Amino acid sequence: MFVLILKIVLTVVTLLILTYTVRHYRFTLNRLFGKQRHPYINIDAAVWPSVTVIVAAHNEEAVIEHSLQALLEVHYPPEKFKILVVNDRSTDGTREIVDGFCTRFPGLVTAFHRSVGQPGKAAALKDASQYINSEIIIVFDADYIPGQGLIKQLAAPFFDPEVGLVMGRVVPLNTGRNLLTRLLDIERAGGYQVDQQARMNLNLVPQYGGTVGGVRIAALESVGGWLDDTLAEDTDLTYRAILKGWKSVYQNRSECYEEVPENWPVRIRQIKRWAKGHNQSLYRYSWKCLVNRNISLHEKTDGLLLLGVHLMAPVILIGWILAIILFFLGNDNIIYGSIAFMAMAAFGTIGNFAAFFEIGSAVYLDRGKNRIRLLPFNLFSFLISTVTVSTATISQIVDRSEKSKLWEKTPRFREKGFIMGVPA
Amino acid sequence: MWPIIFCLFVVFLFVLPLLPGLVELRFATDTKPLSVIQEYNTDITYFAKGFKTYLEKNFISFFSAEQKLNVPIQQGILRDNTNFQIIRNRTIPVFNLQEISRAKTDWLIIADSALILPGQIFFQKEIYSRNSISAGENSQFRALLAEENITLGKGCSILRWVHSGGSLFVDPNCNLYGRASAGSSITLSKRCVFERLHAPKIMFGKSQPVAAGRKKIHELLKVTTIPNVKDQYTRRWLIDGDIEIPENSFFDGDLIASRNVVIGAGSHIRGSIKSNNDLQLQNNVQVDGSVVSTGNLYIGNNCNLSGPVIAEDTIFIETGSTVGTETAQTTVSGLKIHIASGVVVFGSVWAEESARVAS
Repeated sequence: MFVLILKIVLTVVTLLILTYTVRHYRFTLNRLFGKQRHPYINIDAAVWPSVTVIVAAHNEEAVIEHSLQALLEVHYPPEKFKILVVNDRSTDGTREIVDGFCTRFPGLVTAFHRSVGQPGKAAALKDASQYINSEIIIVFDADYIPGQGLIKQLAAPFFDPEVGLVMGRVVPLNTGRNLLTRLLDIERAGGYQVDQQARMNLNLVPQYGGTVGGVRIAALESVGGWLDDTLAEDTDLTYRAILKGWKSVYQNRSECYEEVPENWPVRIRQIKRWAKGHNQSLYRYSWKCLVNRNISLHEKTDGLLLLGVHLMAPVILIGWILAIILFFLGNDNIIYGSIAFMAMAAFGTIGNFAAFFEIGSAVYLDRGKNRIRLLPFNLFSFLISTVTVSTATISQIVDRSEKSKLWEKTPRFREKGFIMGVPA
Repeated sequence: MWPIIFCLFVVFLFVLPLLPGLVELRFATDTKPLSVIQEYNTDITYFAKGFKTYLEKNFISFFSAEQKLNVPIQQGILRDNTNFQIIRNRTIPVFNLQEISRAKTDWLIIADSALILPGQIFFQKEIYSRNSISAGENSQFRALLAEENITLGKGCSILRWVHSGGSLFVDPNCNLYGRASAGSSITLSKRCVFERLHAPKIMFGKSQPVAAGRKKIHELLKVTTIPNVKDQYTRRWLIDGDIEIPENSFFDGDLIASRNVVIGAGSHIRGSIKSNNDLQLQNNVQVDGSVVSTGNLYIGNNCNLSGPVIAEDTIFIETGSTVGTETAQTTVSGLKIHIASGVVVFGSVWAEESARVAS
């Protein structure tokens, strides 16, 4: 009886993993061979909507100057363009740097210095909402360095009245630092170049990622504004908007440099925060997503799979443990055992590597050269992520106190003397 | 012994796929971030400006106000092995017999006066005139830049880009691959094929749209309800299925259909329209916002659209329609675009595959 239960659980786990495997292959094959959708990228002349660029900052003295300088050089009608720095309780020199920009560019750069209230980006964005009177907001983290055409590219999809959220592509800048930054570089490529673009191509649910992304104020208001009790305001907003009938779109050619973590402890903290935030959205929106009438069956399926993506880490771990236990318990049914063995072997050799196929394809599409050789090292990164996400998920279930909901900022690594165009 | 050999063999098999990665980690041959051109700003004249900068760097005396040579033709080779020909106070470049017999030339030509280029020749290098350029029939050009007007004779082809500081006139049957732009206006004749155009005013064919006698808003049927509303928030109406707005109607708001949209003749939409399949605007429709279709987009005669106009498949624009205004430029963007004579667009027309002016 015990073995039978284990077998049933393992079968369910295998089916779940198989579903994600099919999803990965579908996305990758679509990206390689399917019709690519970039419907808004060619809009270069228009009566542009008013835009407020929000730069979310918390102890960003190492990076914020580069970001603001780049934003001052973007091409956008000046009468329609404002920069709002949301300085959330910084204790370093961020305030002085930002105030310097406000003094030099009055009316163009403004600051909201936040010293009290709930910590975290979502809460800061919520408090900053009262200072916004534009049609669109575009959000950047303070380590991002936008190019001159990026704001127009991110604003263009909002001419489509159905679009509520827009997401651009994040490109790591500090790629050459160490093995971790190099692995994150190709992982990011897989996530954006293949995963997000395929979802765009297939009319599914490209995710608004909270930075290098735009939000229509009308869409934000229609779903009740930012929620300050979430760890992943981006995923949260994506689902609330989708459920209300707004579309999120991804613009693969709207690229922006960012800084990725340069050491594993920071990376692990980042993964934990993302996992907890994502799981929070899974808990809040999976049922609503299932029963909602505003979205198609395709969108529902993709939306649910996207919500469950971080839950798959503990599921995979359970699968591995069960497979080992069942192996040592032996199996008296040779036919069932053979099928199970074949399925596990097939999954082990092909299914497990669907995500790597995605990454490899992304590097190919980006015309990367020798960086593809690092692909096998992603196996270690994958193992670390699996354990980290599983730990975060378990701790989230076990410890429901406020402490676990605290937002942890990702530290910056940029050194003084950084010059744009001279990569690390 | 055998267990040790087996273990070593397993370790070898495990390490083998990592070897190329270890080599890459050691020698770090591909560590630069992906190239994101920070200066790219969607400006259609990006290449034209780059070419002008190249000329100013390599032909300092030509662009200098003080140094004016009186040599009518000056030939030479630049450091990058480009053959050049500077033309002063005359209109026609010089070609040798071989070039004439092969109908092909690789001179980079720069002229300080109006330039007349012969027909039936393939100009493999860029051409610049401080004045105007007039091209003969059936010639091929890599790229053209003139501070004033450019006229292309019948059957000419532009392979990369063309930019006129004044007006660009294109005779029938020309192919404009790449970018075509003008500081003032572009006039495209019948059967011209193009990819990307930008000018304050773009005219297709010889005839011009005539202002249609539109009914005033109070004379139109005001539409206040639409069947199958999925969601309605402020100005946005989300409709399940098709939308059909009757003739001579007025609707104030943004319309979004999960399938097709048909806007009846003479109607006025004060807002934007989106269809998740085909979209049809019948004759004399006015739309004060954008028009977006995930399928085909058919725009009837004498429509007035504020734009942008976007379709993921083919856009058809019929005679007499205008998109954008002189003071509010906009974009028409689709996979393929078919435009009838007598259409005017203020701003940009950009086809992902190809666009064509009808016969």
